Amino acid sequence: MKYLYLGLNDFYLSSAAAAMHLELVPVPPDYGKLREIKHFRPFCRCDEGMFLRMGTDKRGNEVYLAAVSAHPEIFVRGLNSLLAACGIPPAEVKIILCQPENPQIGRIVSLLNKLGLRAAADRLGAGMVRNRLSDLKRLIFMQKTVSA
Amino acid sequence: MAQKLIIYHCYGGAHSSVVAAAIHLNKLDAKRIPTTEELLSLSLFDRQTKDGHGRLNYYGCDEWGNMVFSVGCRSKGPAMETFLSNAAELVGLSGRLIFVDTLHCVTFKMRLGGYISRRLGLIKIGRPLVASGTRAAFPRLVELVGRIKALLQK
Repeated sequence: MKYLYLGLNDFYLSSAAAAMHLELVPVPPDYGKLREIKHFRPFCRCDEGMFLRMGTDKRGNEVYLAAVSAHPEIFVRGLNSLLAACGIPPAEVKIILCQPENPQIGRIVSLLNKLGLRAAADRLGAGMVRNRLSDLKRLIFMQKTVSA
Repeated sequence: MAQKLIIYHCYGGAHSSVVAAAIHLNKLDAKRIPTTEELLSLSLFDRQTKDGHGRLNYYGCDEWGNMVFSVGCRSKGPAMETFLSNAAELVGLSGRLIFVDTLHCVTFKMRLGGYISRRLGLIKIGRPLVASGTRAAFPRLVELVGRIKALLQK
């Protein structure tokens, strides 16, 4: 099984969720630990739709990240219908959507990054992770329970 | 050779990609402009809604056994290509997906008619307009599909 953490407009939530899944960071992670996560960063256009490998979990499942700038639901439908068309079980690739409560935050992060304020963008990203921590923990727990 | 998946994509997956898939599968005669009735007889022509965006609609197999699909990707066509190609690599379908963007064949009439019919829901006004625009764009779509088929034949 492969896990794909799909972010909207940035990699902050998705990389933090993937790192928690892989048990690379303590829960709750502090700012220092979050900054050490691979791909804990804003998003640029060239990243859109790309799969970034995060590692393999204890059960041997591969964990990936991806991010898109808008309409994540069409990417989910696209992948699910591709698997169905090829007769591949939908459980083969599990997509976990990691969206901030307010999608506008992603645009603010992107703007901060464009202005060269990467540290401020990272701080905001860490804030997003803190706000969504309970949801992320629940999502990861559910996925792990299903795979077990 | 492994079977390919030919994915025609456009904005809404309701017009140009549907017609391109139909031309590919010889459901529409490429030698003449189809009538409005022939276009409307295509199951997905001007019928896709936004809830179906992103879903690959299977149309059938071509003469070489390749599977033909149409899909609406809104303005995310290139990102969808990257995303699905990466996903295909994960599940062992590497190099089997061929994406064909049909959006550049679309005429202004198709855009306007498609917007009125699909977005505003004014089918009686939009559908004749989009059908007329599709008939005007038909030669371009035939040329595009011809290029893809020539590529597949090689």
